[in-house]
Amino acid sequence: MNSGAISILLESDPVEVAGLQARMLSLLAEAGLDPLASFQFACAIIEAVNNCVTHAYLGVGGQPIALSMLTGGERIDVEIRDTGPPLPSELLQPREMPGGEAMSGRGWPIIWQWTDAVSYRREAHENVLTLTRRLESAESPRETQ
Amino acid sequence: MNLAHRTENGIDIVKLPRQLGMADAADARAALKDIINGGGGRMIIDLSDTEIVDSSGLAVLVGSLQAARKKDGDLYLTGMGNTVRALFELTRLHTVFQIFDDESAALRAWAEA
Repeated sequence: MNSGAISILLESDPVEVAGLQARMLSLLAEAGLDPLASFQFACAIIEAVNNCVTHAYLGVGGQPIALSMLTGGERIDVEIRDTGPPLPSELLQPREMPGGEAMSGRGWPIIWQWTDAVSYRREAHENVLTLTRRLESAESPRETQ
Repeated sequence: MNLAHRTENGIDIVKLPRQLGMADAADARAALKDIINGGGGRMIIDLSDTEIVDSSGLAVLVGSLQAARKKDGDLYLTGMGNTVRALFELTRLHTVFQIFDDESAALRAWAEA
């Protein structure tokens, strides 16, 4: 795998998020994830970024979202920062996938299911959500930090 | 959003683009709603070009399924790749939609419905 750090700055615009997913797939593959694991982790990252757009910034465009991807050892960490209000603590607990025809509520379960660890901290008026994926995990156990 | 759409034996067949995410969701929802409202509610959505879907995209498909069923129709999915299928399985939507390997299998199912 390749070690290193990559930083990506976005605005809270759905079109920018759309471009991010394809880019993440490529970056995660380069970092050593297989195609399915890359897709899974990219989905989790995009759901987290979607949450920044729709919940942290309530759909207001032009707000900053910063991604940092750190690779090295046996894991990939992706840190997502926004300047919205603090995340409600109940969002930071693993949750069940909603029932079949639900129109919403799948984002956080996707994040939890397709990462190996999720951690959150509030730092200098920013939300900092870190998603971790181990390089060799296919179906991954969860850990909360 | 410009969706590839044609009708065969009264079945609306729509091919989705490579990406169905938050940026495309509103347009896709409106386009599919127009097709369902203008047709008989019997639809096949071809996902063979679709590589990227998020929860907004899934909601578009669920909403379209509900709209089709309200017209006593249904929405069959075809051409799903392994990665998108994994997302359907994770979200358990594979138990909600009828999923076929390809369009001809879905058309046969419609003919027998």
